[in-house]
Amino acid sequence: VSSSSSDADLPARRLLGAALDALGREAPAHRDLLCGTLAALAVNVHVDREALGVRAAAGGLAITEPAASARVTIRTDLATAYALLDARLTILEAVRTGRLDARGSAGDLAVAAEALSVFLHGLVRCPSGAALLRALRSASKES
Amino acid sequence: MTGVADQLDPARDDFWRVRSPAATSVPFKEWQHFIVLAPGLDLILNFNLSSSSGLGEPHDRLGRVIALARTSRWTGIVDAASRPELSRDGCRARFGDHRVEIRTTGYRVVVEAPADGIVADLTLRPMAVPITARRQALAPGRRLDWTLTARLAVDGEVELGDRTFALVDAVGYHDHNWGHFAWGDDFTWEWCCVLPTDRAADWAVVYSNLMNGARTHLALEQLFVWRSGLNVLAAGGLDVSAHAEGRHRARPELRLPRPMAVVQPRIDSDVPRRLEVSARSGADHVALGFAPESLVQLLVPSELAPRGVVVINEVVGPVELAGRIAGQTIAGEGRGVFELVRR
Repeated sequence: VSSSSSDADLPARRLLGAALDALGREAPAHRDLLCGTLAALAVNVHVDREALGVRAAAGGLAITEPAASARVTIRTDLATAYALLDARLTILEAVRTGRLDARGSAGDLAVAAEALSVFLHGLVRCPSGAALLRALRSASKES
Repeated sequence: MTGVADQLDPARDDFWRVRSPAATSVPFKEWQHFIVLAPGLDLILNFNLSSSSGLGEPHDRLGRVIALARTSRWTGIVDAASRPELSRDGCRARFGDHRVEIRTTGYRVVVEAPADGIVADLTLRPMAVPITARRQALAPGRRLDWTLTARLAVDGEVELGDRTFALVDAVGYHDHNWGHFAWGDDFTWEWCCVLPTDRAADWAVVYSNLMNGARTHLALEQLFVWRSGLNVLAAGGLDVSAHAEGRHRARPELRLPRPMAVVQPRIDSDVPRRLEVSARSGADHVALGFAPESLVQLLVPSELAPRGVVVINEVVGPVELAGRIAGQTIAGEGRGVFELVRR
């Protein structure tokens, strides 16, 4: 995972970077699957006031600045991300209530959903996943 | 039951194995499982070890403590401990803040999760002769040892949020499993323990079956009954029959670990509305009827399929028991904890 700016005050970038690192270390099959899924699709993610890009790169996944070529843009906040992973909110409810917004063509959104599924399936298989969830909980309270 | 209790020694028989003599490349798993039933409380506690390899080496052990408690609603945790600690004799284990001790006289189980509203400190004394099934075949090349104590007396305290349960001579169940398999292998099981609601009643019942993942092939089905601590009925094969009716429509009240609910949004629990099991051995016979009241789901990531999930339904509810064993009627109301694995 590469990151192009300081992560100190960028919790979404820091947490996503840690999650992708964990995936590479503890669930490499899912990292490879995710790279394959995102190979042809750059995704921009806006979390609270942070904007970042996620794309497949040589040897792994990269967090970059938002890409002009991104065909899918996702907007949410850390509190919503934590509520989803804490099972207090479903993705459908988050979309309906405007807490999660995903833009793109139907085909590209389907690929992005596939990538999200692979990412989460990998994370739940990582022994360090519980610590990452606790870090997200702390960050969501501070955001 | 004093005579029976005198023969029991968990420290001699029920210590953590940590590895199986048949070390293989198939993942090793082991768990100590406890159930406590008291008026207004159903409690399920599980101390669980898993290794990615078959050897169960210390650097490769992941511990998990599962605590599920039901009062008017379910609360629960699945707490991972990356470095579970075990004593050399296999009788003491610490999983993060949680502990289990296996003693000559029984078990001490401590769960410390105040932030999640669950604290328990319990001692469990065996009140029934244990039985052990060695190296049961779960699936081709997959084996599981299973030893169970169908009834224990439980003392201690359980704090669930702002409620405290002081337990004196509550009833409990314990089993210990170890072996080699991967979640996602071609098997499922259905298992239950039933204990009497009236603590003066002296019986306990355990039923289990093993099937393939599609549940089209029944590899094993058995039912055991204990009275006064002694195993008085053991039936299997065609002497046991189970009949499931309808479908329990209520949603799971809790799905753990919580992040798994995102990856497995489908909540179909595939739990029957009613389950009836009967068994006979010679002139002895028993029948039990279970009516699921509520359930929680444990969602286990498949170790074989990148996006596979194995669903373990923990279902509680009332059970009616009726039968006749050794010329004596056995009958009464009980409470059952059923574990229905779906793949």
